[in-house]
Amino acid sequence: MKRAIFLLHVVLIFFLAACWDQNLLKDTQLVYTAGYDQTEEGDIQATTLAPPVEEGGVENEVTVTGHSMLDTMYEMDLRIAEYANFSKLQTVLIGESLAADSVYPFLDELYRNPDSNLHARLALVALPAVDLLSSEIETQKNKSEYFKGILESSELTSVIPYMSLQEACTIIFSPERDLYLPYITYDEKTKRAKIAGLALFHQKKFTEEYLNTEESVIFNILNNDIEEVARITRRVHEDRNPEVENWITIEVKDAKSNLKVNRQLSKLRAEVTLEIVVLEYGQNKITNKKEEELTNILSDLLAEDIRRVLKKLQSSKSDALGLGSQVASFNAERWDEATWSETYQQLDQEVDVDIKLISTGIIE
Amino acid sequence: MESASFSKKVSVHQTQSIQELQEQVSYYSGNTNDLVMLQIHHESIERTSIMVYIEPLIDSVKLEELLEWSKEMKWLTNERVTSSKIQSYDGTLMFEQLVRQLLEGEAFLICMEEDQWRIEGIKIPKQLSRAIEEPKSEQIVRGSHSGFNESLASNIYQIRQRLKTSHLVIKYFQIGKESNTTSALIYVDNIANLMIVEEFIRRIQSIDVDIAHSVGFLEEMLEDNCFSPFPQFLVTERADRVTGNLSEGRIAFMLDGSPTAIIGPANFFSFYQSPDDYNGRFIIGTFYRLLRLCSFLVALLLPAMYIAIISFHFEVIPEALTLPTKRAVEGIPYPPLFEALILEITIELIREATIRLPFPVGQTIGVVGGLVIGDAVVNAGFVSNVMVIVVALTAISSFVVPSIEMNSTVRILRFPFMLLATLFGFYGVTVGLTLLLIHLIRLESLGMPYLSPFAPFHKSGMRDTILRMPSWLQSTRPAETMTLNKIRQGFSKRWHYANKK
Amino acid sequence: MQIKNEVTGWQLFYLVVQTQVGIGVLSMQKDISIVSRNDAWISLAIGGILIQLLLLVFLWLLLRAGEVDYFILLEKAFGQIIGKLLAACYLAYFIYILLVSNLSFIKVISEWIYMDTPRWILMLLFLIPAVYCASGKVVHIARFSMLVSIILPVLVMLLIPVYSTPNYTHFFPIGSEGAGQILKGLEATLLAYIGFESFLYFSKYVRSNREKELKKAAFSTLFVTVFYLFLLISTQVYFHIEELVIVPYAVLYILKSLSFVIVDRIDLIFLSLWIVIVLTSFVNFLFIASNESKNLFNLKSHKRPIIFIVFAVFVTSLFIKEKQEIIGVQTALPAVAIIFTVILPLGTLCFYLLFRKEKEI
Repeated sequence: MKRAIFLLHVVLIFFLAACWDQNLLKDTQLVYTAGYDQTEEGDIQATTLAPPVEEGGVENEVTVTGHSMLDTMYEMDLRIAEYANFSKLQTVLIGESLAADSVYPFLDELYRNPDSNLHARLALVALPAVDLLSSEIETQKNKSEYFKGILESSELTSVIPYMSLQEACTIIFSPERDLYLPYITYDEKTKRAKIAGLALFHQKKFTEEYLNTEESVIFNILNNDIEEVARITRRVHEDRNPEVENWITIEVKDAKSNLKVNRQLSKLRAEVTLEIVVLEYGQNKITNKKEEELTNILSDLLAEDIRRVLKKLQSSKSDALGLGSQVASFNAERWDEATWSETYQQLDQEVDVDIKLISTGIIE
Repeated sequence: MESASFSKKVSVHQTQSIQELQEQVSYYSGNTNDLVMLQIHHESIERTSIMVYIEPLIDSVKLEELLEWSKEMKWLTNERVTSSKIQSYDGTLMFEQLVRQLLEGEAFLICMEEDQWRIEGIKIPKQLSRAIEEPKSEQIVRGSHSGFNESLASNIYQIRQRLKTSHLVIKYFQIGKESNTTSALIYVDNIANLMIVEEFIRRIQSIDVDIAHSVGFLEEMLEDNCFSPFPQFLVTERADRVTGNLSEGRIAFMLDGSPTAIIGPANFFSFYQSPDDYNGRFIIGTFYRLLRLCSFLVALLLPAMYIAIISFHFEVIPEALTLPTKRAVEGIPYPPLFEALILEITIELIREATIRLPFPVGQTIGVVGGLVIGDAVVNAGFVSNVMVIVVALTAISSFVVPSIEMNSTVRILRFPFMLLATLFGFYGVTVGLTLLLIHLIRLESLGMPYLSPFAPFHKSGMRDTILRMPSWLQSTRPAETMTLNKIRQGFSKRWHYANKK
Repeated sequence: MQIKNEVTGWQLFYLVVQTQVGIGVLSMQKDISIVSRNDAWISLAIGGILIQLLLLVFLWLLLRAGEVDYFILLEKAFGQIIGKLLAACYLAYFIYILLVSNLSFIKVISEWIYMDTPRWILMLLFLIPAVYCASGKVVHIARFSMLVSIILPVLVMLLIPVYSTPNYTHFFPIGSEGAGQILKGLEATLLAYIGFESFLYFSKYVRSNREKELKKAAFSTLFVTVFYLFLLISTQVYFHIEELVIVPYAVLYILKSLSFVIVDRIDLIFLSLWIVIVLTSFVNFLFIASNESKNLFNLKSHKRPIIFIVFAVFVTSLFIKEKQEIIGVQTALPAVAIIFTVILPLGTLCFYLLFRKEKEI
């Protein structure tokens, strides 16, 4: 009898135990997009967007302030009907105020929490994140999924690289590389957010400089980080009429860039080989001669672009291309973490662009 | 006994008169009313003989015929005749023996001749049995459509018909103190491992029951571990399945009155084989076999995994599916376990309800149960529609298994998994799965490992377990039967290579 | 019908592999990287080769010693009293290993998924299958080890996406930490390889065709080394070294950050699968320990000692909770392991062979 009662207890304990780590999907509020700003007192202001539970409903938007990331979550839970859950986070938007000093301390929670989603996208916002998230946005999707959508579509056209929390973390922890994040602004006219380019960081701090979308495509080519579609539109002639005839749009099919810092740490040599396809060229009739002419013009133009991008990176001390890690790995005896950013700024450029036109589409 | 002079006699010659004999027979057969004792007077030779038989057990038309025949023979040869059906006994025949023979369907013609009892036994049991038809539970698309029926003789006939070899051995055992049921152990003595046969005989001999109802009843006494949820003998009503297994070195056991044979040593994968696999093309056979094995995992784990995901680890749901899932479970009042139980029990109810109903009614119940309840229960908001999908998929998967025994095992086993998933999520499921795996590894059928050819691992065993290689490649017998005669066949595709030369 | 209580060469191979591959695999990358930094893989490779050589020496000695239980060998080599004493020390060592393994497993699972579930429940769920498995015959354990080895290639396949954007600069400059640090890293490496000595204890079950079968199994560490190297290199191309040293379970962290179309967060699924691998390692040690105590205390079956050992591990684990305490328990392991897995077996085998030679003469 005693044994039976004991066994009963054991069994009951297991039944009662049902809820220790239980985390019912129906009791959670899945936050899809979160934006963070720093208030003037140094607190964190978090704005979260959760998708509507019913189709066609309104998304759940909450803005709270707390001393730490988890403190904001705690504040949030005080205000919403379910538990806030960040494990399905799609986008983390950080305001410039957060990146003014160092981004890592704010992101620490996302790396430490086993629940968090490490492939959520990370982006920097030109205005306070709360303003962007609470402003009106015209979209077919609901607002909580919208930000992932615009980042994803821009990644497909190689305007910005895929920058997840995990990728950012690896860069943040490398002393030889500097962070870069997609840069988002708000376009008043179309009432939509807009990818403005690539924000440049020096170590963990935003440099206030950014590459515009044209430059960031070049940056991705230099970084060997292009997707299937990378389009470049350039003005190759001066004298045609209508104006459209002066322009050409090409698609980069394959790009190989080879960046090298010489052993004396004085020169930066960029060798870029591009295989391109002509997508649009108003003048028509690309003959062999024309082909040569076009590739020459384009090579010059792109070399100029590359120089400009490299200059911008150097002047803002942002080693986003990871030249430092190359030096540290293969030229270790000359590597000095302390003086690297000075050395980096002083590097002379030598750019060599080689363009191969592989197709002109279905007409000549 | 009413007669004061009555005393128990042991053998026939101890009785003195017909009267006395009748009393003794009647006593030994328990004064049963269906015992017929006819006194026959031969006018010519002034002699009385009696005819004893149990009426329902004998074929009276045949009896007449035989009597007529033997009379003619006697008239012709003036000698007593014996035939395959007529046998003579002398007076030392024990009454117990006599009654036992009566119960086997033998009629006795007894007369006193020169102070000696002359006894002739005429074997004419009535043989009523179902026609040979396809077993309902093991229907196949192509191949033989004949199955066993309730008569042991007819079943053995079917086996002998297919295996005309002098090595086919049939050993009879009487089981049941009261029922005296005949059972047969069948094996091919140059293929089966005789150690296993001996082991089986040892187990049969230790059976001590009053009545042997059916094979399923005896199975529990014969199997290695009856506390295991897994069946350790293959049960079939198909003769081709039995002969196929006999030729691989397994042994079959049948009981008179049961249309089923149990086959051992069985292993886990033999429950997932169907004769259809061999009758079709091998690629298709392999595909369906793999499908069935996957269905085992689905039937066992799908509801548990779903519960674990919904209540513990919804992080694993991919991004695009999160919101639809969330919308489906939103507002369901019950915890996922109860939600699943409601549906699982409904499905079990529908199954149990339809199984005994005639076909058209059963189908109606299936439609009503499946469609109407399923739809209504989602609309009422008791159960989420994802759960309906999960449970329905599970139910279908569990019925894919060709063996009914394994099918019910799987259906029972998923409940503990659902409970573990509710309590501990993935960890609980893994712990359950590990326990199950260890159990399967330790389980044996007639002393042979149950999970062979995976544990212990045999490369050659894969050819006919998870795969179904072309039949001319399966030239060795499976290792788990421990057969000493490993080579099954020669190289049947020789002509192909001969042509090439 | 009784199954023969013996294992084949391949089964022994997987027994040894599964004894080695346990919870250490998840934390090994960090432990080695802290010391040898970006040369961690060199440490690991050297460690693997050294241990493989050691196993070959064991093999050579074992083939000469004949078909004997290692613990009986202890008595034969050092005499009854010292032999028994050493066997008792071994028992203590095994319990210590079981304790460490249990603690580190519970630590991972309670940090990664089950933050709120009481530790004793998690432990029970781990220990119950372990007891059930270890109470079987050696063939059952060998079959189990062999069957669950399917999970190892699964991990390899899951990690392949890492090589879509590998960063090989993390390895360079090769050898920058210097030979000193690389050798120092061997200590952490040894922890990952502990379990190779089970070759000694399980080899007595290999009866038929002994020499050939034992030779097959002796190369188990080679397999483990290649497997470990793949894991370590995968983590090194993924993480920068500064990040690697703060991520205690690098492989899990990688899996957490990968996303697949059908499932997200494979780390959760994978960790649940990995429990089985940890379990085999635990079970194998438990089996060895219980069989040894069966001999030591002249018991009839090894089932009762299992209960005692597991109970001891369970109760002790309940009292060790804090992170520093758990680490403290582990710190003594390398030194103790060297004594019990390298010095003592070599000593015993040599001693036994020499001693026997004299006797024969």
